[in-house]
Amino acid sequence: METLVEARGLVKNFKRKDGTEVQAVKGVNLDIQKGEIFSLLGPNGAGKTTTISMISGLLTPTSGDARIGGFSITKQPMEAKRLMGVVPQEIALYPTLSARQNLNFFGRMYGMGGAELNKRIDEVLDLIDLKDRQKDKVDTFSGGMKRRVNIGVGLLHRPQLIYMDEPTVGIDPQNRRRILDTVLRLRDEYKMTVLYTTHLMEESQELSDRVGIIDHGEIIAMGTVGELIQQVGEEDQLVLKIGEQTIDTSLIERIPKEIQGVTRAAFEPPGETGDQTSGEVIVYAKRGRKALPHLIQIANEAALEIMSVEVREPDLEAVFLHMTGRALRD
Amino acid sequence: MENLRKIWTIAYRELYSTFTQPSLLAIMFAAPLIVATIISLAFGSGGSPTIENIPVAIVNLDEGADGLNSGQIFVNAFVPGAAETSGEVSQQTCDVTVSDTSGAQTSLFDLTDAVLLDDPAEARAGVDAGDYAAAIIIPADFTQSTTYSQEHQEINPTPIEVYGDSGRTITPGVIHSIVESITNRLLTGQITVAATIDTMIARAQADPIFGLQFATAGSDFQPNFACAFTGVMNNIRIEQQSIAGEQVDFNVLVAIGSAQAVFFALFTANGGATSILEDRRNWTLQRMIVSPTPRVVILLGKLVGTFTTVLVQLVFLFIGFTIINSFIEGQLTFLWGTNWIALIVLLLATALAASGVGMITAAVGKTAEQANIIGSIISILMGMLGGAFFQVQALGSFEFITYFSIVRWGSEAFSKLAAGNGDIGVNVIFLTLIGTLLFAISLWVFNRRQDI
Repeated sequence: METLVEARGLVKNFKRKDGTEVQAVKGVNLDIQKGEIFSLLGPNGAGKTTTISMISGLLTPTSGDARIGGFSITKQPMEAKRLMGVVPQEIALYPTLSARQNLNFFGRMYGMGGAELNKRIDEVLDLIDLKDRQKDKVDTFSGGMKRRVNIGVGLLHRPQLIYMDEPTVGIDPQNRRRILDTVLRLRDEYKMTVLYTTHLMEESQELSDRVGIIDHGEIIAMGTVGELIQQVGEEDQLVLKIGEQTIDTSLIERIPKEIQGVTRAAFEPPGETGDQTSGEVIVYAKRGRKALPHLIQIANEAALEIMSVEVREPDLEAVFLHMTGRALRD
Repeated sequence: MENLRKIWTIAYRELYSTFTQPSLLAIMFAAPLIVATIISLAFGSGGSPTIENIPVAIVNLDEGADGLNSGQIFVNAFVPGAAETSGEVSQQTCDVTVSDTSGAQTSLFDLTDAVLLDDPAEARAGVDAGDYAAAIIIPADFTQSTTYSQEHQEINPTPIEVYGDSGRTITPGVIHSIVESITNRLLTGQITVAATIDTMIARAQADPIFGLQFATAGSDFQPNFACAFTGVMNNIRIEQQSIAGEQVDFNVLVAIGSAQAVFFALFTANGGATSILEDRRNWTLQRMIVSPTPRVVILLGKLVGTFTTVLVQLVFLFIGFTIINSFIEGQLTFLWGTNWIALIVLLLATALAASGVGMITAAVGKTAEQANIIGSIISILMGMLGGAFFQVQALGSFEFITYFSIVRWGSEAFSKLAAGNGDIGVNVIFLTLIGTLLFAISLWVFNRRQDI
């Protein structure tokens, strides 16, 4: 596959008010292939927006460089910028202009004009489903509609690469679903490359061909979702809630011995798991769903009354937790 | 070419946003007209102000001829008591009255505060130092070149020098006008005398009895001739006299109105330029920066938008002041002179200077609110210094500080044009340079700012 974005050693230092420097991004390396959706996943303040700002030419890197389609963003910024569309996290629109006027203005900033621009505006209005409201001022729109215009502006000049910085922040589930579907269409129908930042693991997991996990200004893991989970060696967890019952330690020792694929088991009495009312039997298995029937059978044999069963499969949240010791939402 | 289109696109959006906001338009256009009209009416019904005690230096180098010193006529006209101390025949005391445009009459001695000096260099230095509004320097051969006699039968133009203070817009013109009037009447009188004497000589030659009467009574004619020269029979009317000889009445609305126009233009420029910071807050600036548009193009677009808005405002206001003045005076009178090219150049230079001030304010302000506060303070200070609220001559010897204000530079030049004086080169150069310099500095600051 052809590489469209290549970032090497991106560093960004900011000066604090007291004159000291803080390093927001610490030598980020990225390779994004043509036609893929690449997510940059990390908690708030991890350095996602700063990284994307350097790659898009909004901020000048303290050191390092990024090449878009072979053009250096620091040395050939105009050529590099022509290849990309940007959808900022903020609603970057003129509120007193209509949707069409906003599209027209920013289209001209990309050198478009005349009939070509008008035709393209019509296409984009169709894509974001706002043709019937095109002449209304943006400040009369709902949050979701503004988000859609915001995305539309980024798509106007048919960029090869589109950056989307947390485009679903602060909108209702219906509009969020619509935006996620649009992102998938951009890859599948328009063959665009998408660089998507989010702090929402679910979005990243659903959309991405590949994911880069960023924390404290550093990429700490990169690959497909499956590769990342495999990389950290996470297992499924089977959690049996048993209320206030007590359990023999011999039963806990039997479980890994008798069930294939189970690596270990543990009992946590009420209060130690966060649940004050129920103890939990936690079983770690490579293929949790397969081990579940056998586990229930052993519990029945031990006359253990099971209140509920939960299968926790590893996800990017677990990967992040495993790698940083913190939850993504912390 | 693509960048030029982008500059216009950015400028056009600025203009569209400005001119579709009714409240903003009211502040830009109605407020200056109302404020300037009220202040002008408070100064004197929109008409001429009271001008008196204009400081003038007179240097009479005239060596005279045949016992006559025509230069002394000017000294007598301007300096009280000069006639009594002079022994010249032509120094008959003649009361010179002056009428203003409303017809009210005052003495020339009340109008001016003249001193007699011996050294032209001292007089010019006094003007340069601001001690005198003008210096009148009468050349050594003045009488010689303007007096008719049997030996000298040709009357030549009189090169009297009126050395005016370019910093004063009104009073040097008044002095120039008076000197010109006296000179014209002197020449007219000389020609009349010459014709009279020629006629009498011819008659005396033809009629010996008349010749005898003329020879014995001739000296009685002289005082009357002297008074004819100084205008006792022809009152001098105070009017600004342009170099081309065109007459334009002075009007308070010109001084206050032009200063108010430039003052409000500063506010408009400030608002226009700080839209950069509003764009940053809306993220529309960042969106432009990530497009293939150089920063200088974005800033030039903003500058052109601001500049055009200010220019439209100034043109509207100057037309508005003309209409208001026409209503007050009951006749349609264009206030700003007839030198259209100079007026257009001055409007462009003033709009550029105001835009430059706005851009530098936006460059140093961290937020739009902060820039607006800084801009308002600068605008009010410049307005006060520049004569938007009172006539700057009231500052006396501190008047020089008013030149820290572009309002002064602009309003002074507009007042000069209104007075028919096209000598606004220095003002135009200053305004253009300051506008260009401030824009260059703001461009440098914007490029260094990490947050933009």
